[in-house]
Amino acid sequence: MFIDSSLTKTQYLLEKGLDVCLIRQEVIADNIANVDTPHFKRMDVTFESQLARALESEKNPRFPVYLTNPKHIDFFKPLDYRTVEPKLQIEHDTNYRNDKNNVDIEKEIADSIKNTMRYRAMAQRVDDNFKMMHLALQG
Amino acid sequence: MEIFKSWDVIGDAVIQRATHPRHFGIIDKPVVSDGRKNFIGEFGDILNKQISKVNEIQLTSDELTQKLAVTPNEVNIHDVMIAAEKAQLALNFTRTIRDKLITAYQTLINLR
Amino acid sequence: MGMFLSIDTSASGLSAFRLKMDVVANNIANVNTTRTPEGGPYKRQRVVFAPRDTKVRFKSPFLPNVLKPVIGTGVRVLRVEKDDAPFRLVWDPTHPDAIKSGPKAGYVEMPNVNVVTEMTDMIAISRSYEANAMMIEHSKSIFNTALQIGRST
Repeated sequence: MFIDSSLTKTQYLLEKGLDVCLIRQEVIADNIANVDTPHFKRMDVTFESQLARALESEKNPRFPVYLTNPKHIDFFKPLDYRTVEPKLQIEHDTNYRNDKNNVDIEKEIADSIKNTMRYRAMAQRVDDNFKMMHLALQG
Repeated sequence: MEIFKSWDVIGDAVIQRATHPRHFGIIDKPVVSDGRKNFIGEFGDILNKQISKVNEIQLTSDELTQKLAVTPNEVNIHDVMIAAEKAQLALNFTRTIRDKLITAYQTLINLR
Repeated sequence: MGMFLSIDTSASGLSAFRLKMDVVANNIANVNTTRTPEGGPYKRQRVVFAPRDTKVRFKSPFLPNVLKPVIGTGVRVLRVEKDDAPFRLVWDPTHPDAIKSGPKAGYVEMPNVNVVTEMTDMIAISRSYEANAMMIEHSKSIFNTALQIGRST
């Protein structure tokens, strides 16, 4: 909404985080529903670590590189955090039971609780940001 | 001290002459102030463009709310709420700016 | 995505585990049934689950976009099948269903249901059912939280 403000970046990160939390909730629900299905492999959502890496790469590179030819590849290319998308990954190589099912129900429950808490925190922050902007408009 | 004659000034641009080749500045070329260099457009055009952007924000919010009513399985609830809040904020902003503009206009009109 | 996909998934889990619980209860009730309409003692039943969507999930990390993994939609019951484990033999020549002749004369074939196994299964099913119900609670809580955005302004 407001161009080039730090609030825009925060707003974008919060909205994307809310989307990813919803996806994660669906994935965990699917894992728990299939806790007794033989040959089922649990699925995971990765997003936050990739986002952290993208944001980290925007800071100044620690090892500046001198390129002698414009066609040479640079060491550090900053990754735009806007291009990071959540990825669905299936854990193929672990086993928990004899029927090749690898869903650990306690872990899934803990993940779901953490996910809900995260969603509530982020939604609360979005609401507070909007309240702040309304406050700035008063008077 | 040299005071500029009226023919040296064009609007807000002042013609300057460098009297020595080592002085900075190009001889006989007018120095333009910052205001003209950063000119982006007429005030009316900018106002119109921004108001149509506010309209777009309202339309997005409306579209998402319609999706909520018709096919709720396609839309996320937080997207709907956030878009509604942005629409309200944008409208609030526009109303404030309109009020201030009208107040300023009336103040100018009532100048004696 | 959307609001209700996770609730559908958890609901499918709830109904699947409820069916499994019914089958376990049936097994326990028939632990001593030596005579069934189709002849012979009661055969233990069990439920086979399968993921609801039948899409193949590939292992390779390099996949074209069409074959990338998609979020599953829950579980379904494939079939309720009979367990072919051998029957328990109990020595009781006075029982009306005792085997009359042959090497097993005098033995009664009892159902192949082990009550301890069934009880253990029941505990696990109960926990899974509870976990699915908890998922629905979480989905509801997430939804209600999102509704609060922009409420007070």
